[in-house]
Amino acid sequence: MAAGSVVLLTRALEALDVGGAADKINLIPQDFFAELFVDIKWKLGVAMSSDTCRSLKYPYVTVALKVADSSGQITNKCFEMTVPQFKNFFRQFKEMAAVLETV
Amino acid sequence: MAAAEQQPPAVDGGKVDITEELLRGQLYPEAAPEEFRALRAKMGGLLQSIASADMDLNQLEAFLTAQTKKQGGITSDQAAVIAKFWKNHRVKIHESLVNQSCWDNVLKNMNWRVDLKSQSRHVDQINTPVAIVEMELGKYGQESEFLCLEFDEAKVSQMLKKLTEIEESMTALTQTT
Repeated sequence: MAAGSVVLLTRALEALDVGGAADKINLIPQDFFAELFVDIKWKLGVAMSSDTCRSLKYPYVTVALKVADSSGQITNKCFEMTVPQFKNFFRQFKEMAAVLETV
Repeated sequence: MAAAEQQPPAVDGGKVDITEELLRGQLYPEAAPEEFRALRAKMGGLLQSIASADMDLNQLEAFLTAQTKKQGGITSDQAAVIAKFWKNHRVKIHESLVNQSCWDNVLKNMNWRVDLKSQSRHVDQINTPVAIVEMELGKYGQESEFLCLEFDEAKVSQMLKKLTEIEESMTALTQTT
């Protein structure tokens, strides 16, 4: 958690006029620690061979999500996706766009 | 030698160690340990070759036929059993090998919701819809990091544009291989 959000969190907790710490924590919305999506970089590769499998031959995409936290600090979150994993990822964002349009 | 069509040993949620002794006791209790060890090594070796090459049916047939013809090879019954096993499990085995060779973070899970965010600092209360996405990132078999990201409509569009680029590249790639 970035230093900035600790201060915000403390203030928010103090402001909540309910029971003990546990009750207060439950009231904090899930997205309190949400970071802002800034950009995505990607790279497509094919894993050809490995020590355990001479014929891997699977394409995969490596993405780097550029995100900004509440203090403006930028970090890169990297991960890999196989083709089916990517297709699912893509589909979710299409659904998201559809919902955002209707709201 | 008949295929082991008997009930598999009761494996308690994967916690029981599949030892050679367990296999022998379940499959060939009358066989001597050295005899079973040799059989297991031979079959294991063949499957490893087949899995490593991710053989298609033609390659498999050619490979197994060659094995039946050589000294100390396999019988045609054994070849038939191996062929049946590979046909049934090829996809899952290959997927497992693929996952084993991925040592970077993967997206293990993803959830999202759309919220209406009210900008209360402005005079006009503008309700902007935002998508809150939770991504579970981590390496296979290791602890995950949960990433919570906020996207407005413009950012989702930006993401879709990039994802379309990826899809186009993937299509181009699979068409040429």
